[in-house]
This record gives sequence, structure tokens and C-alpha cells, in this order.
Amino acid sequence: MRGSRVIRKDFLTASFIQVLLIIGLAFFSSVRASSGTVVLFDLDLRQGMYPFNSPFRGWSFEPALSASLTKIPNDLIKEHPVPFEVSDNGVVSSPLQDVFVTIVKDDSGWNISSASFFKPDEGFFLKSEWDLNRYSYEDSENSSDFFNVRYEVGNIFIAEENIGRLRECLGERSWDTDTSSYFWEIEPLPMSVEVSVLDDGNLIPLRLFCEGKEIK
Amino acid sequence: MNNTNWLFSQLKKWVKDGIISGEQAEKIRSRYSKDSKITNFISALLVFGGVLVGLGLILAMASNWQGFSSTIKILIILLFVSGFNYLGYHFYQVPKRRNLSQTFFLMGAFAFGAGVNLVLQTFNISFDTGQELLIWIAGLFLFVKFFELFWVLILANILLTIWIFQTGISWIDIAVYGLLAFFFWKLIFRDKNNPALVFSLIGTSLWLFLLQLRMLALPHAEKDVDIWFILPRLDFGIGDALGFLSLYVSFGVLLSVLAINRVKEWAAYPFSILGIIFVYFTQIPFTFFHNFANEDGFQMPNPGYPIEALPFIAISAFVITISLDGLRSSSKSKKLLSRFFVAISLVNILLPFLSYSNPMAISIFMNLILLFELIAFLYISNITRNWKLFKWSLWLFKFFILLRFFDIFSTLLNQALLFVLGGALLIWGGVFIEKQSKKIFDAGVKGD
Repeated sequence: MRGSRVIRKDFLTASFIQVLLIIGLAFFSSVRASSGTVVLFDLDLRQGMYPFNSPFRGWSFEPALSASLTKIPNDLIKEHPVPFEVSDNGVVSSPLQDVFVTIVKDDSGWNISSASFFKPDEGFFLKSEWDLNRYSYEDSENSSDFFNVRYEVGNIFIAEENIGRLRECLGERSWDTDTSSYFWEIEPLPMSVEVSVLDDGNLIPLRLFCEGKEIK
Repeated sequence: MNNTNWLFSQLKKWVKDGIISGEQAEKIRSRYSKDSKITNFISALLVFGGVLVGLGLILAMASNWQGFSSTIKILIILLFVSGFNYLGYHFYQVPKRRNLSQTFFLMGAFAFGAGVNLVLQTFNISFDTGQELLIWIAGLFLFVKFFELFWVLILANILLTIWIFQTGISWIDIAVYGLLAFFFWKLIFRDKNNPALVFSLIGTSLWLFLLQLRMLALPHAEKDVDIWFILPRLDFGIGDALGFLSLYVSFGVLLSVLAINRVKEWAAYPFSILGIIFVYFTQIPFTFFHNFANEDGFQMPNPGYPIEALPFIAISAFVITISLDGLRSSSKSKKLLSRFFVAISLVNILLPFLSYSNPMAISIFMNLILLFELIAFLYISNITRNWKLFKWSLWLFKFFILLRFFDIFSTLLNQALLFVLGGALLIWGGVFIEKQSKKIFDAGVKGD
């Protein structure tokens, strides 16, 4: 039989661990996000992104960066790409290949200056993965002069009352069977995402904007 | 007269006849008394209320309070977590208030999970493989350890099972689950927590599946990447499928051995029932194997990589080792039981070699082996006086007969007649089992 002093000590220890886990997680997340360089990127709304509601986390939205950062001309890659294996049933099977994309800012915004399968020693770069989705919209316009990459931006959590506004900004896209292409039934509005770019090229989403105004 | 009244009237007689002592009668009476029923009812209400409050809290966190800063959000959640836990601690020390204490600790556990999710939401963190569940589970461990929290232990094991189901199947995930499951088993066995044991065993079966899958992918994986990208590259053959069958049969046999050897008396029921479920339901699809062969001829590819056999060979070897004592026993029934488990383990190790045969041979062999196992389980449950296992075995046996009926006669009989006869067989079997099972079971005792 434990005495009340021992019980109190056990209670305080167990409570301390829980508090430590919550505060530690918050502190780690906050420090990690603030350690990177904060940049604003335009979004590519043709990628068909939609907000998603999870029962325990609420509404979230995963932004996709604009084609100026995802479509990489072959002459900008420093090494020879390793080809993927595509089986008869269309399954692309290969371990993901990291692509480090070095970007520069000019008058038109952020653009790609070079890409490499290895982490660059200098320059401002983002970590991406080779886009394995053969059925993405780029496929139809893909040529041997380009290859596509995908950035793991992560989810931005949105308050329930702002989901309607987000949907307005995303527009509405439909498939035209005659021309076999997408068309906009409702035009999207210009959107951008503020991210923190870490030293290793990983991205942490911070804020989402539509027509320059934040969607919280 | 209801059952309780009948029992109470009998208790008086038994004490009078000297069958049981007055003290024992009182113990039995208190177990079935109205007070005890009311306490159970209140406990159920408290736990149900605790779960509802906890889920409500999680949903409230999920609705994303844009009006608060991240610091305020974290302070609010810490207040909830600490408040519930403090109430749990307070009532833990008050005599006869342990149920209330358990409820508050349960609400604290839910509030902690909601808090972890809230932090992730506030800082836009997306974990790929459910690390938030791991943090949640880690936060619950010490409370369960120090305060013997029945419901929180169940919750932790449910979370652990959900986590292993959504991992990226890396070696680290496999090792972490193994370690956590080990620590929680210690608490489950300490607290004799049957529901937590069931969830833990389900989680372990998933873990074993992932372990064998990881081993199967070993020759293909140059580095620890998402196994779902590697899977399409695997030349997954019938040998591999039979390897997974062997894994679950070995796991089921291990549980049955643990149940029959009464390693943990209180756990005999979940061990024995889950044991026969794993053995039966993983083998039954293979009893129809010839139906899967396509018309162009069935390809019987590779018999699997030897390394993937490690998990089920290890489990079967363990079963054989603990059965060896029984083989040396002077008791006939113990010897027979041990022989059965050794035999079934040896057959199980060799099962993947069936991939060298043809689909019909696999079907016939699996039918024979399953029939043998069911009869053996009926016999074993009888001599070990495990009434629940006996009933389960009998029902599964009947289901087996019904499946065979449909398999054999589906091409011979008119569909309507097939279903009518099948239904009649089911009804007759049900009535027969209800009427005869107790007699058969009791006849076993006299036979002993």
C-alpha cells in the first residue's frame, strides 16, 4: 500500500511528463518554424486542392506551389535523372527521389535557377520529390524537356467559419469530355502561402492568403 | 423467480447442507447483490460520460479557435488536462470513490490527446505516420502505471493498435511498437485487464504482419523508405501468401497453448478464443484455393524468400519448446495436447512448401488440416473443461460444413434449392448445437 506522499509524488511526476510533452511539442514547433527563412509563394490552383475535414483535427488544406517552381526544365538539372520503372498496369515503382531546387527572386517572383539530386552547398533551395503521379494534369503537357516535382508543404489548419471563403478562392473546376481537359466553372482567385524554409530545404506552412488577405 | 433469487435461495440450502461455508455464501451474495449491480451500472454511466466529455473536448479543439493566440490555446488545454487529472488524483484517495477517479483520469487522458492535436493544429504540423498518437500514448503511460487506470489502459492499447495500422512500416516503427507493446503488456498482466489484452493482441497480430512484410521487402529496399512504394515491385507469389498464413496460424496456436497451459488464468478466455479465430479465419480462404486459379492456368511462382519465414518459424519453435515438457509428462491428456501442438507447429512451418504443388492440392490439404484442427480443438476444450472454447469450436465447425456445402453443391444444384438447403442446414445445426453441445461437453467429463 502506497502512502499519500508517494501517491502525490507519482501524480506530480506523471502530470509533469504530460505538461512537458505538450509544452515541449509547442516549443519545438515554434522554434523550428522561426528558425527558417519566411517566404511567400504563389499557389497553383490547377492542382485540384480541396480542404479536408478530419474528425479530431478539424479543417485543413494542403497547398501546392505554382508551376514556376514545380516544372523543371531538364537543362537546369545538374545530374542525369534516374528513370522510374513503369509496369504494364501503370504503377510507377521506385523509391522517391529527392530533388533540391535552388531558387532566386526576380521581378516576376521566385524562379528556379538550378536543380540537383544532392543538397547544394550554397544558394537558397527547397527540398522536393519527383512527382510520381503519372495522371497529374502536367502529364498531358509533359514533354521530354521538363520534369515535375512535388513539394511537401504540409497542411494549414483553417477555422470552420472560413472554409466557405477558402472554397470561393479555390474556384470550381470541371472536366470537359469533348476536349479532354479541365475548365473553370468558377474562376479561382490568386492565392499564396507563407512558408518557413528550413536550412535543409524543408518547408513549414505558416499562413494562407487569398487576394492578399489572410485566411485563418 | 429470477436467476438471482434462485441463487440466493440455493445459497441458504448449500450452507445448510455444508457444501459451502457461510463466509463463502456471503461473498457470492455480495457479488450478485443489488448494490453490486447498482455500482456496476454507475461505473458504466461514469465511463460513458467520461468518454463523451473526452470526445467532445477533442471535437472542440478540432474546431480551431481563431480568436485565441497560440499561447492562450495551450494554457487552456493545460488547464483542462491538469484539472481532470487533479480531480482523478483527489478522488483516488477518497475511499469508495475509485470509479469517479477512473472517470476523471479518463477525461484527462482524452484532454491530453486533444491538447497534442491542438498544438499540431496551432503550428500547422502534419505528421506522416501518426507520431501524435505516440506522444499521446507516452503521456498516458505513467498515469496507468501509478494509478492502475483500467479504462485509460484500454484507450492506450486502442491508440497503439491504430498507430501500428498507419505506420510507414520502417524498422524504427516496428521496434518502437515492440517496445511499447512490451511495456503495456506488463501493465495489462499486472492489472488483469482483459479488454486491453484483446486490443493489444489485435495490435500484435498487425505488427507481426508488418514485420513479415518488411522482411519480404528486404531484398528490394535499398534504404528505409515507404514500403508501399516497394510493394508493387515485389514478385508476390503463393509461397509468400502461405508464409503469411503460417504466421497467423503460428500466432493462433501460440495463444491456444498459452490458454490451455493456463499461463495466466484470467486471460485464458481471450487467449483461447482469439487463438482459434486466428487459426480458423486465416486458413478458411485457402480451403477454396482451387477456385482462385484462373482459366489460363495458374502460375505458381516463387516459394518466398527464406528470411520472411523467420517470424513464424520463431513462434512455432517457441510453441514446440514449451510443449516439450508435456511430451515427457505422465498424464495422458497432457501428452496428447503437446503432441497435437508440436504436430500442428511442424506442419505449419512446412506450409509454404505447398506452393510447389497445384491449387487443388492446396485446397484439399487445407481442408484436411482445418478439419483435423477443429476436431482437435473440440477435444482439447473438452478435456481442459473450457466450455467457451468448446462452443466456439463447435460453431466454427458448423460454419466449415456450411461453406463446404456451398462449395461442393454450388455447381450441382439449382441456386434456389442450394440456398433453401443451406438455410435448413444452418437452422438444424443451430438447434442441434444448442441442444446437444452441453450433453457432448458433459459426456466428455464422464469419459475422462
